[in-house]
Amino acid sequence: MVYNIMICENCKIRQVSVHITQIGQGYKKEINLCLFCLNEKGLNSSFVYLSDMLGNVIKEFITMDKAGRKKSLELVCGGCSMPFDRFFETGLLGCPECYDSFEFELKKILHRFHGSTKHITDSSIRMSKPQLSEITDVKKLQTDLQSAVKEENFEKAAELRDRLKLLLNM
Amino acid sequence: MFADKIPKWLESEAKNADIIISTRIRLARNFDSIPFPNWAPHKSLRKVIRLALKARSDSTMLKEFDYFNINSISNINRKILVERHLVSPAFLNLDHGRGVFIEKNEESSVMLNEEDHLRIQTICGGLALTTALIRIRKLEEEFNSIIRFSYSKKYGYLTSCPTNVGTGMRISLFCHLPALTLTERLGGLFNDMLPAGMAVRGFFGEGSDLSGTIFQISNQITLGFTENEILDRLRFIARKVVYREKQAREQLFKNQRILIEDKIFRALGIIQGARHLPMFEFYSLLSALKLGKAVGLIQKISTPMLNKLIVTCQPMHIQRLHSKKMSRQDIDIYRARLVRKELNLKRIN
Repeated sequence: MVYNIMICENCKIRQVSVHITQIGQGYKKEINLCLFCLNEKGLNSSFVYLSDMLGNVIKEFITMDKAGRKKSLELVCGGCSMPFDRFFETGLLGCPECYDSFEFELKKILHRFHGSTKHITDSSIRMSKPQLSEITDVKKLQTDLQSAVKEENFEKAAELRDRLKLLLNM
Repeated sequence: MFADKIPKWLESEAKNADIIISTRIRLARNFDSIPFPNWAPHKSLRKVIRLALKARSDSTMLKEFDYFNINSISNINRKILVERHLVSPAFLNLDHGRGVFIEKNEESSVMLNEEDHLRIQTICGGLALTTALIRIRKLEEEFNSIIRFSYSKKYGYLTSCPTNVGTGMRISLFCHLPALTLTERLGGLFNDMLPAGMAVRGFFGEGSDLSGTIFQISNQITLGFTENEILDRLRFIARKVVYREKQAREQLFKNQRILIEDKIFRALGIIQGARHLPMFEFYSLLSALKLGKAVGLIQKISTPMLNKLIVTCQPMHIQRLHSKKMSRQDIDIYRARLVRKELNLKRIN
Protein backbone atom coordinates (compact mmCIF):
# COMPACT_ATOMS: atom_id res chain seq x y z
CA MET A 1 0.00 0.00 0.00
CA VAL A 2 1.33 3.43 -0.89
CA TYR A 3 0.72 6.32 1.46
CA ASN A 4 0.90 9.83 0.19
CA ILE A 5 2.56 11.71 3.03
CA MET A 6 2.56 15.51 2.91
CA ILE A 7 5.53 17.37 4.30
CA CYS A 8 5.21 20.55 6.37
CA GLU A 9 5.66 23.72 4.31
CA ASN A 10 7.59 25.47 7.02
CA CYS A 11 10.21 22.96 8.27
CA LYS A 12 10.02 20.61 5.27
CA ILE A 13 10.82 17.73 7.65
CA ARG A 14 7.81 16.63 9.63
CA GLN A 15 4.51 15.27 8.41
CA VAL A 16 1.63 17.67 7.90
CA SER A 17 -0.98 17.67 10.65
CA VAL A 18 -3.03 20.71 9.80
CA HIS A 19 -4.36 22.11 6.59
CA ILE A 20 -5.33 25.72 6.80
CA THR A 21 -7.51 26.83 3.94
CA GLN A 22 -8.66 30.29 3.06
CA ILE A 23 -11.48 30.58 0.60
CA GLY A 24 -12.60 33.80 -1.00
CA GLN A 25 -14.36 34.58 -4.22
CA GLY A 26 -11.89 33.71 -6.92
CA TYR A 27 -9.10 32.33 -4.80
CA LYS A 28 -8.29 29.42 -2.54
CA LYS A 29 -5.10 29.27 -0.57
CA GLU A 30 -3.86 26.28 1.39
CA ILE A 31 -1.19 26.19 4.04
CA ASN A 32 0.01 22.82 5.31
CA LEU A 33 1.89 22.69 8.59
CA CYS A 34 3.06 20.18 11.18
CA LEU A 35 1.93 20.65 14.77
CA PHE A 36 5.35 21.87 15.85
CA CYS A 37 5.52 24.66 13.28
CA LEU A 38 1.91 25.51 13.95
CA ASN A 39 2.85 26.23 17.54
CA GLU A 40 6.05 27.95 16.51
CA LYS A 41 4.22 30.25 14.16
CA GLY A 42 1.83 31.09 16.94
CA LEU A 43 -1.02 29.69 14.97
CA ASN A 44 -2.37 27.59 17.79
CA SER A 45 -5.09 30.07 18.47
CA SER A 46 -7.37 29.92 15.48
CA PHE A 47 -9.15 33.03 16.68
CA VAL A 48 -6.42 35.55 16.62
CA TYR A 49 -3.79 34.92 14.10
CA LEU A 50 -5.88 34.23 11.08
CA SER A 51 -6.61 37.89 10.67
CA ASP A 52 -2.90 38.34 10.28
CA MET A 53 -2.79 35.79 7.54
CA LEU A 54 -5.52 37.61 5.69
CA GLY A 55 -3.33 40.68 5.74
CA ASN A 56 -0.64 38.71 3.97
CA VAL A 57 -3.00 37.51 1.29
CA ILE A 58 -3.98 41.10 0.61
CA LYS A 59 -0.38 42.13 0.36
CA GLU A 60 0.30 39.35 -2.09
CA PHE A 61 -2.67 40.56 -4.05
CA ILE A 62 -1.18 44.01 -4.37
CA THR A 63 2.41 43.03 -4.92
CA MET A 64 1.48 40.55 -7.64
CA ASP A 65 1.12 43.47 -9.93
CA LYS A 66 4.56 44.96 -9.65
CA ALA A 67 5.89 43.70 -12.96
CA GLY A 68 5.45 46.05 -15.88
CA ARG A 69 4.77 49.12 -13.79
CA LYS A 70 8.18 50.67 -13.75
CA LYS A 71 7.03 54.15 -14.77
CA SER A 72 4.49 54.62 -12.03
CA LEU A 73 7.01 53.43 -9.45
CA GLU A 74 8.85 56.72 -9.83
CA LEU A 75 5.82 58.69 -8.62
CA VAL A 76 6.01 60.51 -5.28
CA CYS A 77 3.07 61.73 -3.19
CA GLY A 78 2.71 65.51 -3.11
CA GLY A 79 1.33 65.43 0.42
CA CYS A 80 3.75 63.22 2.32
CA SER A 81 6.52 62.58 -0.25
CA MET A 82 6.15 58.83 -0.01
CA PRO A 83 7.44 57.14 -3.19
CA PHE A 84 4.86 54.91 -4.86
CA ASP A 85 7.47 52.17 -4.99
CA ARG A 86 7.14 51.76 -1.24
CA PHE A 87 3.45 50.93 -1.58
CA PHE A 88 4.33 47.77 -3.46
CA GLU A 89 6.57 46.64 -0.63
CA THR A 90 4.27 47.39 2.29
CA GLY A 91 0.80 47.48 0.74
CA LEU A 92 0.25 50.67 2.74
CA LEU A 93 -0.16 54.29 1.69
CA GLY A 94 1.52 57.23 3.44
CA CYS A 95 -1.26 59.78 3.90
CA PRO A 96 -4.80 60.63 2.76
CA GLU A 97 -3.39 62.64 -0.15
CA CYS A 98 -1.77 59.52 -1.61
CA TYR A 99 -5.23 58.63 -2.89
CA ASP A 100 -5.03 61.66 -5.20
CA SER A 101 -1.33 61.45 -6.00
CA PHE A 102 -1.49 57.79 -7.09
CA GLU A 103 -5.11 57.82 -8.22
CA PHE A 104 -4.45 56.47 -11.69
CA GLU A 105 -2.74 53.31 -10.39
CA LEU A 106 -4.84 52.94 -7.25
CA LYS A 107 -8.10 52.97 -9.17
CA LYS A 108 -7.11 49.78 -10.93
CA ILE A 109 -6.21 48.12 -7.64
CA LEU A 110 -9.44 49.29 -5.98
CA HIS A 111 -11.46 48.04 -8.90
CA ARG A 112 -9.79 44.67 -8.89
CA PHE A 113 -10.09 44.18 -5.14
CA HIS A 114 -13.46 45.77 -4.35
CA GLY A 115 -15.07 45.59 -7.78
CA SER A 116 -15.82 49.29 -7.38
CA THR A 117 -14.09 52.66 -7.24
CA LYS A 118 -16.88 54.65 -5.65
CA HIS A 119 -17.90 54.93 -2.01
CA ILE A 120 -21.62 54.59 -1.33
CA THR A 121 -23.22 55.57 1.95
CA ASP A 122 -26.61 54.73 3.38
CA SER A 123 -27.46 58.41 3.43
CA SER A 124 -26.48 58.90 -0.23
CA ILE A 125 -28.96 56.18 -1.16
CA ARG A 126 -31.67 57.87 0.90
CA MET A 127 -30.82 61.27 -0.53
CA SER A 128 -30.61 60.32 -4.18
CA LYS A 129 -34.29 59.52 -4.73
CA PRO A 130 -35.91 62.73 -3.44
CA GLN A 131 -33.17 64.71 -5.12
CA LEU A 132 -34.03 63.20 -8.48
CA SER A 133 -37.73 63.93 -8.08
CA GLU A 134 -36.88 67.43 -6.93
CA ILE A 135 -34.98 68.08 -10.14
CA THR A 136 -37.90 66.94 -12.30
CA ASP A 137 -40.22 68.99 -10.09
CA VAL A 138 -38.19 72.12 -10.64
CA LYS A 139 -38.14 71.61 -14.41
CA LYS A 140 -41.86 70.92 -14.49
CA LEU A 141 -42.64 73.95 -12.33
CA GLN A 142 -40.51 76.18 -14.54
CA THR A 143 -42.33 75.15 -17.73
CA ASP A 144 -45.70 75.39 -15.94
CA LEU A 145 -44.78 78.87 -14.74
CA GLN A 146 -43.79 79.96 -18.24
CA SER A 147 -47.05 78.71 -19.75
CA ALA A 148 -49.05 80.30 -16.88
CA VAL A 149 -47.39 83.65 -17.61
CA LYS A 150 -48.12 83.23 -21.33
CA GLU A 151 -51.77 82.50 -20.51
CA GLU A 152 -51.75 85.54 -18.19
CA ASN A 153 -53.00 83.31 -15.36
CA PHE A 154 -51.14 85.35 -12.75
CA GLU A 155 -52.76 83.75 -9.75
CA LYS A 156 -51.48 80.33 -10.81
CA ALA A 157 -48.10 81.85 -11.79
CA ALA A 158 -47.66 83.38 -8.35
CA GLU A 159 -48.41 80.10 -6.67
CA LEU A 160 -45.98 78.26 -8.94
CA ARG A 161 -43.33 80.94 -8.33
CA ASP A 162 -43.66 80.50 -4.57
CA ARG A 163 -43.36 76.73 -4.80
CA LEU A 164 -40.29 77.08 -7.00
CA LYS A 165 -38.70 79.49 -4.57
CA LEU A 166 -39.34 77.06 -1.73
CA LEU A 167 -37.84 74.13 -3.62
CA LEU A 168 -34.75 76.03 -4.74
CA ASN A 169 -34.08 77.28 -1.25
CA MET A 170 -34.35 73.84 0.28
CA MET B 1 -4.25 42.97 34.41
CA PHE B 2 -7.37 41.21 33.08
CA ALA B 3 -6.33 37.60 33.51
CA ASP B 4 -8.82 36.82 36.27
CA LYS B 5 -11.75 38.63 34.64
CA ILE B 6 -13.85 37.18 31.83
CA PRO B 7 -14.76 39.34 28.83
CA LYS B 8 -18.50 39.98 28.75
CA TRP B 9 -19.01 38.65 25.24
CA LEU B 10 -17.91 35.15 26.28
CA GLU B 11 -20.72 34.94 28.81
CA SER B 12 -23.40 35.15 26.16
CA GLU B 13 -26.23 32.66 26.28
CA ALA B 14 -27.78 34.12 23.14
CA LYS B 15 -29.79 31.86 20.89
CA ASN B 16 -27.49 29.83 18.63
CA ALA B 17 -24.42 31.04 20.56
CA ASP B 18 -23.15 27.48 20.23
CA ILE B 19 -22.93 27.99 16.46
CA ILE B 20 -22.17 31.72 16.09
CA ILE B 21 -19.79 32.32 19.02
CA SER B 22 -19.31 36.03 18.49
CA THR B 23 -19.87 39.02 16.22
CA ARG B 24 -17.08 41.54 15.85
CA ILE B 25 -17.11 44.85 13.99
CA ARG B 26 -14.00 46.88 13.35
CA LEU B 27 -13.76 50.39 11.92
CA ALA B 28 -10.58 51.88 10.46
CA ARG B 29 -10.40 55.66 10.85
CA ASN B 30 -7.70 58.25 10.34
CA PHE B 31 -7.42 61.83 11.47
CA ASP B 32 -7.48 64.48 8.79
CA SER B 33 -4.13 65.86 7.56
CA ILE B 34 -1.89 63.56 9.63
CA PRO B 35 0.16 60.95 7.71
CA PHE B 36 -0.78 57.29 8.28
CA PRO B 37 1.13 55.56 11.13
CA ASN B 38 3.44 53.51 8.89
CA TRP B 39 4.83 56.69 7.28
CA ALA B 40 4.27 59.31 9.99
CA PRO B 41 7.11 60.93 11.94
CA HIS B 42 7.13 60.28 15.71
CA LYS B 43 5.83 63.77 16.33
CA SER B 44 2.63 63.00 14.39
CA LEU B 45 2.14 59.69 16.18
CA ARG B 46 2.34 61.45 19.52
CA LYS B 47 -0.19 63.97 18.25
CA VAL B 48 -2.61 61.15 17.41
CA ILE B 49 -2.35 59.82 20.96
CA ARG B 50 -2.73 63.32 22.41
CA LEU B 51 -5.87 63.97 20.35
CA ALA B 52 -7.36 60.59 21.26
CA LEU B 53 -6.70 61.19 24.95
CA LYS B 54 -8.38 64.58 24.66
CA ALA B 55 -11.40 62.93 23.05
CA ARG B 56 -11.55 60.56 26.00
CA SER B 57 -11.38 63.29 28.61
CA ASP B 58 -14.23 65.18 26.91
CA SER B 59 -16.52 62.17 26.56
CA THR B 60 -18.56 60.41 29.24
CA MET B 61 -18.75 57.21 27.17
CA LEU B 62 -14.99 56.99 26.74
CA LYS B 63 -14.42 57.44 30.45
CA GLU B 64 -15.37 53.78 30.79
CA PHE B 65 -12.19 52.98 28.87
CA ASP B 66 -8.73 52.49 30.36
CA TYR B 67 -5.74 53.72 28.41
CA PHE B 68 -2.57 51.62 28.10
CA ASN B 69 0.69 52.71 26.52
CA ILE B 70 1.81 49.51 24.80
CA ASN B 71 5.50 50.34 25.18
CA SER B 72 5.24 50.58 28.92
CA ILE B 73 3.46 47.34 29.76
CA SER B 74 5.18 43.99 30.17
CA ASN B 75 5.63 41.54 27.36
CA ILE B 76 3.32 38.97 28.94
CA ASN B 77 0.55 41.52 29.41
CA ARG B 78 0.84 42.56 25.78
CA LYS B 79 0.37 38.98 24.68
CA ILE B 80 -2.59 38.65 27.03
CA LEU B 81 -4.22 41.54 25.17
CA VAL B 82 -3.79 39.57 21.95
CA GLU B 83 -5.16 36.38 23.47
CA ARG B 84 -8.22 38.33 24.59
CA HIS B 85 -8.71 39.78 21.08
CA LEU B 86 -8.32 43.33 22.35
CA VAL B 87 -5.39 44.12 20.06
CA SER B 88 -4.12 42.48 16.88
CA PRO B 89 -0.91 40.40 16.85
CA ALA B 90 0.46 42.77 14.21
CA PHE B 91 0.03 45.63 16.68
CA LEU B 92 2.69 44.16 18.97
CA ASN B 93 5.24 43.94 16.16
CA LEU B 94 5.20 47.69 15.52
CA ASP B 95 7.93 49.68 17.19
CA HIS B 96 6.47 53.19 17.15
CA GLY B 97 4.28 54.98 19.70
CA ARG B 98 1.14 52.95 20.21
CA GLY B 99 -1.64 52.91 22.72
CA VAL B 100 -4.92 51.18 23.33
CA PHE B 101 -8.24 52.11 24.95
CA ILE B 102 -10.01 49.17 26.54
CA GLU B 103 -13.53 49.24 27.86
CA LYS B 104 -13.82 47.94 31.40
CA ASN B 105 -16.11 45.08 30.39
CA GLU B 106 -13.83 44.42 27.39
CA GLU B 107 -16.61 44.68 24.83
CA SER B 108 -14.90 47.44 22.90
CA SER B 109 -11.35 48.59 22.36
CA VAL B 110 -9.55 51.19 20.27
CA MET B 111 -6.03 50.65 18.96
CA LEU B 112 -4.11 53.89 18.40
CA ASN B 113 -1.49 53.96 15.64
CA GLU B 114 -1.88 50.42 14.39
CA GLU B 115 -2.20 50.32 10.59
CA ASP B 116 -4.55 53.30 10.88
CA HIS B 117 -4.73 56.04 13.51
CA LEU B 118 -7.80 54.46 15.05
CA ARG B 119 -8.93 50.88 14.89
CA ILE B 120 -12.21 50.82 16.77
CA GLN B 121 -13.62 47.38 17.51
CA THR B 122 -16.48 45.89 19.42
CA ILE B 123 -17.32 42.24 20.16
CA CYS B 124 -20.75 40.87 21.06
CA GLY B 125 -21.52 37.31 22.08
CA GLY B 126 -23.62 35.29 19.63
CA LEU B 127 -25.08 36.76 16.46
CA ALA B 128 -25.68 40.44 17.26
CA LEU B 129 -24.97 42.48 14.14
CA THR B 130 -27.31 45.40 14.81
CA THR B 131 -26.28 45.77 18.47
CA ALA B 132 -22.64 45.77 17.46
CA LEU B 133 -23.19 48.35 14.71
CA ILE B 134 -25.12 50.72 16.98
CA ARG B 135 -22.46 50.43 19.64
CA ILE B 136 -19.54 51.05 17.30
CA ARG B 137 -21.25 54.02 15.65
CA LYS B 138 -21.68 55.67 19.05
CA LEU B 139 -18.05 55.06 19.82
CA GLU B 140 -16.98 56.47 16.45
CA GLU B 141 -19.11 59.56 17.08
CA GLU B 142 -17.28 60.21 20.36
CA PHE B 143 -14.02 60.63 18.44
CA ASN B 144 -15.57 62.34 15.44
CA SER B 145 -17.10 65.09 17.56
CA ILE B 146 -13.61 66.25 18.49
CA ILE B 147 -11.41 65.27 15.57
CA ARG B 148 -12.28 65.33 11.88
CA PHE B 149 -11.75 62.02 10.12
CA SER B 150 -9.99 61.84 6.81
CA TYR B 151 -12.84 61.36 4.32
CA SER B 152 -13.31 61.88 0.61
CA LYS B 153 -16.63 61.93 -1.23
CA LYS B 154 -15.22 59.64 -3.87
CA TYR B 155 -13.51 57.01 -1.74
CA GLY B 156 -15.18 57.37 1.67
CA TYR B 157 -13.01 56.93 4.77
CA LEU B 158 -9.39 56.97 3.66
CA THR B 159 -7.30 54.20 5.15
CA SER B 160 -3.65 53.26 5.07
CA CYS B 161 -4.33 50.06 3.12
CA PRO B 162 -6.58 50.50 0.09
CA THR B 163 -8.30 47.22 0.92
CA ASN B 164 -10.08 48.95 3.83
CA VAL B 165 -11.06 52.19 2.11
CA GLY B 166 -14.72 53.17 1.83
CA THR B 167 -16.64 52.13 4.90
CA GLY B 168 -13.45 51.04 6.66
CA MET B 169 -15.66 48.41 8.23
CA ARG B 170 -14.88 44.75 8.69
CA ILE B 171 -17.41 42.43 10.29
CA SER B 172 -16.28 38.98 11.46
CA LEU B 173 -18.43 36.14 12.66
CA PHE B 174 -16.76 33.35 14.61
CA CYS B 175 -18.61 30.15 13.94
CA HIS B 176 -18.35 26.72 15.53
CA LEU B 177 -19.34 24.14 12.93
CA PRO B 178 -18.57 20.63 14.19
CA ALA B 179 -21.31 18.76 12.33
CA LEU B 180 -20.52 20.39 9.00
CA THR B 181 -16.85 19.61 9.55
CA LEU B 182 -17.58 15.96 10.36
CA THR B 183 -19.77 15.51 7.33
CA GLU B 184 -16.89 16.92 5.25
CA ARG B 185 -19.07 19.19 3.21
CA LEU B 186 -17.57 22.47 4.29
CA GLY B 187 -15.37 23.43 1.35
CA GLY B 188 -18.14 22.97 -1.18
CA LEU B 189 -20.68 24.55 1.12
CA PHE B 190 -18.71 27.74 1.54
CA ASN B 191 -17.99 27.91 -2.16
CA ASP B 192 -21.70 27.72 -2.94
CA MET B 193 -22.83 30.04 -0.26
CA LEU B 194 -20.37 32.91 -0.23
CA PRO B 195 -21.32 35.96 -2.21
CA ALA B 196 -18.51 37.99 -3.77
CA GLY B 197 -16.30 39.80 -1.33
CA MET B 198 -16.74 37.44 1.62
CA ALA B 199 -14.07 35.11 2.93
CA VAL B 200 -13.92 32.14 5.29
CA ARG B 201 -10.84 31.22 7.21
CA GLY B 202 -10.26 28.42 9.62
CA PHE B 203 -8.56 25.17 10.38
CA PHE B 204 -9.79 22.34 8.29
CA GLY B 205 -9.04 19.30 10.38
CA GLU B 206 -8.34 15.99 8.76
CA GLY B 207 -11.17 13.54 8.24
CA SER B 208 -13.00 12.77 11.45
CA ASP B 209 -10.89 15.10 13.59
CA LEU B 210 -12.68 17.88 15.42
CA SER B 211 -9.69 20.13 15.98
CA GLY B 212 -10.63 22.44 13.15
CA THR B 213 -14.20 23.45 13.70
CA ILE B 214 -13.93 27.16 14.36
CA PHE B 215 -14.23 29.43 11.36
CA GLN B 216 -14.17 33.13 10.79
CA ILE B 217 -16.49 34.56 8.15
CA SER B 218 -15.85 38.17 7.23
CA ASN B 219 -16.36 40.75 4.52
CA GLN B 220 -13.33 41.70 2.48
CA ILE B 221 -14.89 44.36 0.32
CA THR B 222 -15.33 47.75 1.97
CA LEU B 223 -15.85 49.97 -1.07
CA GLY B 224 -19.03 50.16 -3.15
CA PHE B 225 -21.33 48.72 -0.49
CA THR B 226 -23.01 50.66 2.30
CA GLU B 227 -22.55 49.60 5.91
CA ASN B 228 -26.09 48.28 6.02
CA GLU B 229 -25.62 46.29 2.85
CA ILE B 230 -22.52 44.63 4.29
CA LEU B 231 -24.45 43.91 7.47
CA ASP B 232 -27.38 42.40 5.59
CA ARG B 233 -25.11 40.16 3.54
CA LEU B 234 -23.47 38.79 6.67
CA ARG B 235 -26.81 38.30 8.35
CA PHE B 236 -27.93 36.31 5.34
CA ILE B 237 -24.84 34.08 5.46
CA ALA B 238 -25.12 33.62 9.23
CA ARG B 239 -28.69 32.38 8.93
CA LYS B 240 -27.69 29.95 6.22
CA VAL B 241 -24.73 28.65 8.23
CA VAL B 242 -26.86 28.13 11.34
CA TYR B 243 -29.50 26.34 9.30
CA ARG B 244 -27.02 24.03 7.55
CA GLU B 245 -25.13 23.23 10.76
CA LYS B 246 -28.37 22.32 12.52
CA GLN B 247 -29.43 20.20 9.57
CA ALA B 248 -26.06 18.41 9.58
CA ARG B 249 -26.36 17.76 13.34
CA GLU B 250 -29.79 16.22 12.89
CA GLN B 251 -28.54 14.02 10.09
CA LEU B 252 -25.51 12.89 12.06
CA PHE B 253 -27.65 11.92 15.00
CA LYS B 254 -30.11 10.09 12.85
CA ASN B 255 -27.52 8.08 10.95
CA GLN B 256 -24.51 7.82 13.25
CA ARG B 257 -25.75 8.42 16.76
CA ILE B 258 -23.42 5.90 18.43
CA LEU B 259 -20.35 7.33 16.73
CA ILE B 260 -21.21 10.89 17.78
CA GLU B 261 -21.99 9.90 21.35
CA ASP B 262 -18.69 8.06 21.35
CA LYS B 263 -16.84 11.22 20.28
CA ILE B 264 -18.50 13.39 22.90
CA PHE B 265 -18.12 11.06 25.88
CA ARG B 266 -14.61 10.05 24.89
CA ALA B 267 -13.71 13.76 24.96
CA LEU B 268 -15.16 14.01 28.46
CA GLY B 269 -13.18 10.94 29.49
CA ILE B 270 -9.92 12.30 28.10
CA ILE B 271 -10.37 15.61 29.91
CA GLN B 272 -11.01 13.75 33.17
CA GLY B 273 -7.95 11.60 32.76
CA ALA B 274 -5.50 13.96 31.04
CA ARG B 275 -2.30 14.97 32.82
CA HIS B 276 -0.99 16.91 29.84
CA LEU B 277 -3.20 18.73 27.35
CA PRO B 278 -1.70 20.47 24.30
CA MET B 279 -3.62 23.41 22.88
CA PHE B 280 -4.63 21.78 19.66
CA GLU B 281 -5.92 18.62 21.29
CA PHE B 282 -7.78 20.77 23.78
CA TYR B 283 -9.62 22.62 20.99
CA SER B 284 -10.69 19.32 19.52
CA LEU B 285 -12.05 18.10 22.88
CA LEU B 286 -13.71 21.43 23.58
CA SER B 287 -15.44 21.30 20.23
CA ALA B 288 -16.81 17.83 21.03
CA LEU B 289 -18.09 19.05 24.41
CA LYS B 290 -19.73 22.08 22.81
CA LEU B 291 -21.49 19.77 20.38
CA GLY B 292 -22.53 17.52 23.27
CA LYS B 293 -23.91 20.50 25.14
CA ALA B 294 -25.80 21.82 22.12
CA VAL B 295 -27.57 18.51 21.53
CA GLY B 296 -28.36 17.96 25.19
CA LEU B 297 -26.04 15.02 25.88
CA ILE B 298 -24.05 17.04 28.41
CA GLN B 299 -26.10 18.67 31.14
CA LYS B 300 -23.90 19.99 33.91
CA ILE B 301 -21.62 22.17 31.81
CA SER B 302 -22.90 25.47 30.37
CA THR B 303 -22.02 27.03 27.00
CA PRO B 304 -20.45 30.14 28.66
CA MET B 305 -18.27 27.80 30.77
CA LEU B 306 -16.99 26.21 27.58
CA ASN B 307 -16.58 29.47 25.64
CA LYS B 308 -14.63 30.96 28.53
CA LEU B 309 -12.02 28.21 28.19
CA ILE B 310 -11.30 29.30 24.61
CA VAL B 311 -9.67 32.39 26.13
CA THR B 312 -8.40 31.24 29.52
CA CYS B 313 -6.62 28.10 28.29
CA GLN B 314 -4.24 30.02 26.03
CA PRO B 315 -0.54 29.91 26.95
CA MET B 316 -0.13 33.45 28.31
CA HIS B 317 -3.27 33.24 30.41
CA ILE B 318 -2.07 30.04 32.04
CA GLN B 319 1.34 31.54 32.83
CA ARG B 320 -0.25 34.68 34.13
CA LEU B 321 -2.62 32.70 36.35
CA HIS B 322 0.33 31.03 38.08
CA SER B 323 2.51 34.16 37.83
CA LYS B 324 5.51 32.34 36.45
CA LYS B 325 7.23 31.67 33.17
CA MET B 326 6.67 28.11 32.02
CA SER B 327 7.95 25.72 29.39
CA ARG B 328 5.49 24.54 26.78
CA GLN B 329 5.20 21.23 28.56
CA ASP B 330 4.40 22.90 31.88
CA ILE B 331 1.69 24.95 30.21
CA ASP B 332 0.12 21.78 28.82
CA ILE B 333 0.21 20.17 32.28
CA TYR B 334 -1.43 23.17 33.93
CA ARG B 335 -3.98 23.34 31.14
CA ALA B 336 -5.16 19.80 31.89
CA ARG B 337 -5.76 20.78 35.54
CA LEU B 338 -7.38 24.10 34.70
CA VAL B 339 -9.91 22.57 32.31
CA ARG B 340 -11.02 20.03 34.94
CA LYS B 341 -11.30 22.72 37.56
CA GLU B 342 -13.30 25.11 35.41
CA LEU B 343 -15.70 22.38 34.32
CA ASN B 344 -16.02 20.91 37.84
CA LEU B 345 -14.86 17.49 36.69
CA LYS B 346 -13.19 14.90 38.92
CA ARG B 347 -9.83 13.57 37.91
CA ILE B 348 -9.62 9.87 37.07
CA ASN B 349 -6.86 8.31 39.13
